Amino acid sequence: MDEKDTVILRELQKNGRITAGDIAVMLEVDENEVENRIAALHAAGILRRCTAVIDYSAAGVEEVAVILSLKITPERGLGYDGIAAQIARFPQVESILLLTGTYDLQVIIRGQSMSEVSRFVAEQIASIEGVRETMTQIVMRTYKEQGVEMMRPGSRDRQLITF
Amino acid sequence: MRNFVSRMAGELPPSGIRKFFDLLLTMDNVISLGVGEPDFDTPWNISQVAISSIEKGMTMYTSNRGLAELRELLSADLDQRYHTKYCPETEMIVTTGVSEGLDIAVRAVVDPGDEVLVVDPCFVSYQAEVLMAGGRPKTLPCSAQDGFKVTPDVLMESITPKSKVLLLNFPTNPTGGVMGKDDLQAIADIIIDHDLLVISDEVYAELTYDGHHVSTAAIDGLWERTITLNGFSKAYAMTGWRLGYLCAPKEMTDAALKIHQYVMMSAPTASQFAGIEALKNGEEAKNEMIAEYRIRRNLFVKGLNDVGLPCHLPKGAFYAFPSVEGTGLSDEEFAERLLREQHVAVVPGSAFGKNGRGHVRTCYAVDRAKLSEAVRRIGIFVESLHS
Ligand SMILES: Cc1ncc(COP(=O)(O)O)c(C=O)c1O
Repeated sequence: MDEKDTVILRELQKNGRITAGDIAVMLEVDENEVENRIAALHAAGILRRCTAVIDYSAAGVEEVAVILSLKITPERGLGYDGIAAQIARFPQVESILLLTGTYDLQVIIRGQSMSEVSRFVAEQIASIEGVRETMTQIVMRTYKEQGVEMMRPGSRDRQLITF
Repeated sequence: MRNFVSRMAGELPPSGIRKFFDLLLTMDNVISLGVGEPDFDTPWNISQVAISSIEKGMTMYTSNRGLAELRELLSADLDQRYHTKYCPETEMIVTTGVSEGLDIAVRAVVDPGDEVLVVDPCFVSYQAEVLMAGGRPKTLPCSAQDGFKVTPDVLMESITPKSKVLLLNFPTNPTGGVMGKDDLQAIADIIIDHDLLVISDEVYAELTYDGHHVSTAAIDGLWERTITLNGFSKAYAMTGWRLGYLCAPKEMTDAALKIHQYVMMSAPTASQFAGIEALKNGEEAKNEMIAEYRIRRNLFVKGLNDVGLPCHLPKGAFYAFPSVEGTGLSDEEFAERLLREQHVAVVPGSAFGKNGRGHVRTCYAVDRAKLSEAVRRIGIFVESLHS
């Protein structure tokens, strides 16, 4: 990892569809070098995936998200990792974070309806051995997601009076 | 009723840019590369400090020279960045943008009939400022071959016995030209030999992409004969705050201060608090914006060249100044037809002086998606001219 890799990662994070050619122009290097660097970042497990940030509500698609907080009894030898790994296998689970404080794990879950998500929490997660307590909070609105502001006030058109 | 308009105001030429924007206002879905300002919001911490200064009731005039803390920070910042030393008490004035700094600087030193050498092409206000002060603008032709610099030869040819002031602006609006240390040193002797004063507008100083900005006053022998102007508009995305500063040896600062007192009293107070925050905690946001301009410059200039508008790689500011000569259209025709046919606004180069002819000014302080769409549309337009 050097400064150029950092720029490549930042650019891919901002826009997963950016081409190696464009990054090459930005960095003032040739395209092959960018392609090689991207391949190396992939291989090293640094660059995991280039994805999209989607505002489903803008598309009128019904979607619910909940934040599930869990208290866990750590397993001998494994700590929290074993349970986290079990939870991670479910495709409904978007992220899992280990936290300090009252709750140990914070899990973000997405689904198409509230009943689907609550059934999932009750049947799949709460029943895992070692999960002592759960708290589920419904996400009411997303203001910012992965660095993207979802509700910028209407575009600020510039006044055309400058030089 | 008689005509009340003064001769000076009556004779002042209107800006070539404004004329063009009247047409633009009647159109929609326009991508404007026409305005010279950052598209970023002012970094939020900076705005926040200004808001809280208002909430605390700090809404009076400041001292005429500006808040002492702001001048002290500016003085340290200039010293650290450009190795120029100015005493915050006697050699600096906080102004209402570089625009006001330019006005009071010119009026502080120009007598009727004095000749002021201005780079051509240059920022649209320069010639008008000189005219308003009763001076006579004289142009210093700069060309793409010279990287839009002022060369010793051109300077020598342009100087006359009436020449008093040389108005420099590097990095340059509209060309993006930059003068390095050697370039400035090469003209320093001429400036000294002909006993000229330099007014150096360095508002784009931080937007220097290759190497570091060199301040005119940092060149040996020039500090004594330079008025340095700078401000927050471009580097900190603070155009609407109207905050700039003037630095010069004491006699000239004193002269400019008299004019500043009469016309402006002091720069906006909330803006000055914002300026303090910008200097204390704005470095990172500023550097991010500059890195982004550099990326856009690279992408945009390559795009222009790819679609057939030859363009040198500008080393500073946020303007690209491609040649449109190959299209067979004048710069004015090019700009007008590009706007009508493809809804992309650029400014004809001749709005910035005779030497701007055959070029258009494009500002790439526009988000990347819009920039690449603009390149696409420019490509379609240029293509249509050939078929
Ligand atoms: C060369 C130059 N000087 C000064 C200004 C005005 O700066 P300010 O906003 O500080 O008045 C501009 C704005 O476009 C400029 O291009």
